[in-house]
Amino acid sequence: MCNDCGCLEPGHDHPHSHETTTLAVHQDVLAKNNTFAERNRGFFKAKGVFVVNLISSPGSGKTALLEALAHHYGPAMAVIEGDIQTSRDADRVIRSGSRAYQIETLGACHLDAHAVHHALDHLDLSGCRLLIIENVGNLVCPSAYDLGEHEKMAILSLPEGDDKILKYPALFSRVGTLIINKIDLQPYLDFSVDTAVSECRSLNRSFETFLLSARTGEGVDSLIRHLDLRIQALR
Amino acid sequence: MHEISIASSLIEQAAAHVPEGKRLLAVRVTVGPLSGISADSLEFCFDSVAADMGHGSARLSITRIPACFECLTCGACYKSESVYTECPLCQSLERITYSGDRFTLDAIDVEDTHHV
Repeated sequence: MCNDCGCLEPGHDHPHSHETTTLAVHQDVLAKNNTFAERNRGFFKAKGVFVVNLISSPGSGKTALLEALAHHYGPAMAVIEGDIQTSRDADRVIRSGSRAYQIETLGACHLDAHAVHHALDHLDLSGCRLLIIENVGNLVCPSAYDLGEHEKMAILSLPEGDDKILKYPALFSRVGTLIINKIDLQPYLDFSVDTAVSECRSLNRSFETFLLSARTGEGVDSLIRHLDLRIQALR
Repeated sequence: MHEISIASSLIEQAAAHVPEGKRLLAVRVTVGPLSGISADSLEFCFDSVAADMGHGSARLSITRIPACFECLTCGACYKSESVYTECPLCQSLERITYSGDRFTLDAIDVEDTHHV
């Protein structure tokens, strides 16, 4: 057996080396996603639309909040819905008066910038000032993917517990808006808003907090004022 | 668990840097605690994803880096891979978090393709 390469042919030349070479790369692993995110960002800028990437766990009230916002903004708001299956959420938003396009991820646990890029082909944004991308219900996977949004908005609802912020630091270190939903349940639950907010501040010094109930409408006005300011700032 | 799709895009990205006549031996990445990537899950799925993509010789090498914090109570700077770590001097969690979101492909190892 050849001692150099282990093959069975004795006494032959070895024009190849078995030396390991290290080649420097120095790239972001999500570079491809980020390129699409930059394209999306340029598109949003051209359209003059403020874009939110809405992330939370399943059942925290993302679609209920979108229904409340759709009642206010109507056709001035558009929604891209990311769900593993069904167009149920998009139907709810459309019934509430805004336009919506559903992405069915068919198993994927997050949206990426490429999926959003294609969804934009199906959504007419004329006259639209606010686009909310409702990500797949998940506090982990969506956080790493830039979709080209202006800000990430996270919802944490009272039944989930006030200890969730540090359990999902990748998300809460990146949020621009923290919504604490189902505040109408405060009398029945021992969720400490102070704990949640101060733990979020330990990861991130630049976010705003809104306490609201998407179901009763309490506090939704403050969020709308905040969104209006962000929309105006684009013009 | 998005690490399977991460692994496949990582291998695709690494393979694009392999010169002709070489094969991929190692993929070297750095993962921070705020990157949103589970290094353990990535490690777990990497070998089978690499083999599926025709890079069965490739191994993953992960450098885990800490996040950097500045304590707002006492001013100390400290590093930790866990966001639960309080200030080692005053045990405060009032702090500024400076980094830890890195997830980069740093380098690849290659060798000449064998002839058998």
